[in-house]
Amino acid sequence: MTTDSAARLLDDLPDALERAIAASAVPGAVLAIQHGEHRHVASAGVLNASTGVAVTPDAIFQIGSVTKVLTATLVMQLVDAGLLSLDAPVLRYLPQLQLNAAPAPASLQVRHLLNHTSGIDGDFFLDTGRNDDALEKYAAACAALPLLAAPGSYFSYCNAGYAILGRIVEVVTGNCWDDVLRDRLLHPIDATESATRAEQAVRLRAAVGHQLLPDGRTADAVDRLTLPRSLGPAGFTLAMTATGLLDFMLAHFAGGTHGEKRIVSAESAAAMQTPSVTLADDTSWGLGWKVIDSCAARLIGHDGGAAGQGAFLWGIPARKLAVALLHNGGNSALLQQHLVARALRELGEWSPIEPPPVRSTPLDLAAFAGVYENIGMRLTVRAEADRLRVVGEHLQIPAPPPDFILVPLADGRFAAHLTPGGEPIVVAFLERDTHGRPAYLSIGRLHRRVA
Amino acid sequence: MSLLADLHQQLAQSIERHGVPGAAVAVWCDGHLHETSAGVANAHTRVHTTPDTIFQIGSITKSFTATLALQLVEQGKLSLDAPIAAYLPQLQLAERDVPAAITIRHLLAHSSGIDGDLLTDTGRDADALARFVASLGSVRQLHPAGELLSYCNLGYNILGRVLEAVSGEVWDDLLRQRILTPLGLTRAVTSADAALRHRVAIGHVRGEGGEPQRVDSPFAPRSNGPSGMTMACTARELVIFGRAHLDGGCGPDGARILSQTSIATMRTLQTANAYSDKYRGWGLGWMLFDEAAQRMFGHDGGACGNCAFLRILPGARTIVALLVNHERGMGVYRDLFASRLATLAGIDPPVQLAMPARTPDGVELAPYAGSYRRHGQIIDLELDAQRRLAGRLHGEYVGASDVKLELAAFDAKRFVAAAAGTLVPVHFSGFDERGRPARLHVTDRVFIRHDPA
Repeated sequence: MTTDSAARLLDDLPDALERAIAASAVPGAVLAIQHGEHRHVASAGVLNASTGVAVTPDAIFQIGSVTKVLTATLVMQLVDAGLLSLDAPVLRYLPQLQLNAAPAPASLQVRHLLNHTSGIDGDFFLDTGRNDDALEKYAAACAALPLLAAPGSYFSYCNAGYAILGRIVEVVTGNCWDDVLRDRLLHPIDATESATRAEQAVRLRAAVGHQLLPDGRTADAVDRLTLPRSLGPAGFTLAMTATGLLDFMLAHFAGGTHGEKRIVSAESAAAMQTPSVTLADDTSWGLGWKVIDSCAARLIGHDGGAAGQGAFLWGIPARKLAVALLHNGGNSALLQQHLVARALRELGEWSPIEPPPVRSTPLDLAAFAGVYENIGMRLTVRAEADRLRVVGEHLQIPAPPPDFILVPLADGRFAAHLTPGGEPIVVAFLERDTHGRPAYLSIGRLHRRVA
Repeated sequence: MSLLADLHQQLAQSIERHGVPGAAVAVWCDGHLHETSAGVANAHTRVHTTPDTIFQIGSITKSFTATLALQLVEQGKLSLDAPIAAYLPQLQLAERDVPAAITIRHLLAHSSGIDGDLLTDTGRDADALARFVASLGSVRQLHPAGELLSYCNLGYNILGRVLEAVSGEVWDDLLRQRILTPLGLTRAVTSADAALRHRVAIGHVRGEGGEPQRVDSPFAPRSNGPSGMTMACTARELVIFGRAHLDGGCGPDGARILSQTSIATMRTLQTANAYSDKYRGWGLGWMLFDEAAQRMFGHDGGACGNCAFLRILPGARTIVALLVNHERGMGVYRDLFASRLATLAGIDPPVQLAMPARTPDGVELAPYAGSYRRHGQIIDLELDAQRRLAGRLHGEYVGASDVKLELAAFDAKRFVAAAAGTLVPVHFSGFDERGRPARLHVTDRVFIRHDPA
């Protein structure tokens, strides 16, 4: 049965992509799949609804946070070269770095930035201009950032940490992150159709992001087509092709090699794919890659979104299956379901981690109520009859406030129903005191209880 | 022959003939807009041009910057005859007294004498012009202000900074608020970031095998924005801007961007062109093809591998905008418009240059040998084995390989140079008692003779 459905998807890839973008109100997309020795690429739709220029397989899209895996690869190259040590204090490379209005703690290591365990309150979207000193200025401004937890203690997805890693790359190499990325990674994997600056992007078939209207339709291009360079290494500026992303992942599958060229050592490639911290939902993070070990296989990858565009890059190394999907707006979760999840299921025999069953006995929910926040988000948790209701407020970006429920699970964790009809994700309250009141709510990021 | 007959086909054939990737044309005549396009916006992506494609317009930007300056004059924030030192007291050039001797009018009319090409990149932030103007401490003046024509990009960038200083707004924002928005030019941009939203043409240069090659750095540097390195728009939008200048300062919806008086001031001859037959001289931001600017005025542009042409014919009530995404776009202008516009406007047809067969009697070539210099460009001339005046153009702004030059004289002052397969007029001036010229004039620029000490 698996073989039959697999054949259907690949035989029908252009049509499947056309149908998926239509169903998801996505203006344009490219889907690239490496399945064993075979590569399949399809493109559909338009780069820009107002120009009507068609998407082709060589179109570039902003890949958002997938960039973090590329930044992590640069860091590992420098580790391989003996210029950087994962266990060294960040202060060794950035002696001026301050956090929480004090010198950064000596216990903060490079590794913590790579696997999001630094504890830095990281949704800090300061624009420090379009010049080559953007990262230097940003790292200096991190002095204002609180620490949510001691370095190494918890996973908390951290954009600022990746900008700081980018700054470390600059200091160690003496060049700006964009140039190091191009010279040490993009060009060696032949991803020359790529851009981190608009001056480069306009020379290529560059997609623009589109606004998604509340009624589910897609409107014109977003107001801000490009985002600040200050968070380039975390995913604000890099645009690539789907096949470029696929080649990047395949180099990681191949022990760090691209053809005859070594991109990163085999040890480093392996370390990046090995779980180094476990999240509330039993998935884990390697160094750069998100890693999901289910009963089926090990899946690695990353999602990204920036300026109304987005990327999915996921693969199963053991099956030599890699899927790269780029899009420029619309309902990206639905698009992912139609294409990426389907490809992994049908071609990779992948099945996700089974969530724990829903709790069958009553639970006193009052102790969980409260206000939890970090610099990007304030979550107000209220107890209802048999569940918790969470109302959020974005503190950094203008976005619709989240409003969702948490359903208690049998093992004490909760299922968060973030999107109506979507798959719930497993979240957890951490460090409960003697009254049962937790110190944190962990939903991807740590949210510290403040009231 | 009519301007409009077979316009699309002629454009398509012309770009093919010249090996140009793409072009767009807008013509306004008989009260109607006619537009067409041909080829591709980008030889690499093969995206087609349409009438909505934006191209970098290069120095035509100067007409916009000049319009902004006249707006601020109308508001009493700027005076054409005030020295630039009055607005930029911190400005330092190589010679201390120069900023007090150069007026806004000199900058607008290319007579300041400032050595006019400096492409220093001062970044992409809003302070790019401020930083640029703070970096001019070694810039020299090639001749006293007001004495000669010497085309000056640097002057327009200084002017852009003056406009920022007196208005408190960044040049790009001034342009948008005071010209682009009132005229409804929604596709016009001044950065690559903004250009991403549109069907954008990329400039091309001739590759080694003759094939068009995309430029590496479009829309840069921002420090040279007001003189023309960052602005792009459609051909149609250039026509709309031209109509505002044709129709006494009002845009299509009646929005006034400039008074009748200022419109007339911009078209008044300020600096005569003694060095070529191409045009009569400069007004403020306009190239005048007749002294009264009643027959034809306009501007040319060339930046980042693009060529742009804007011609306004007040008598014939006709406007032409041609945008080409290749450094050799001049051939397309010649094919489609050069002669026809001259006929329509009633001006002399463009002169067909030819190399004179022999040196005229009484002209001795030896005194012309020497090294003529300006920032980034050097012309070295010497007598070759056949006693011809020949040499090369080289320097930082010339490109990877030197340009070979061969000069021939019409008379003691007027020469023609064969360079890279084209003929350009060359002029010499400032002769000493031994007949040696102090200056060489070519493509509106002044080169100063430097004799070994």
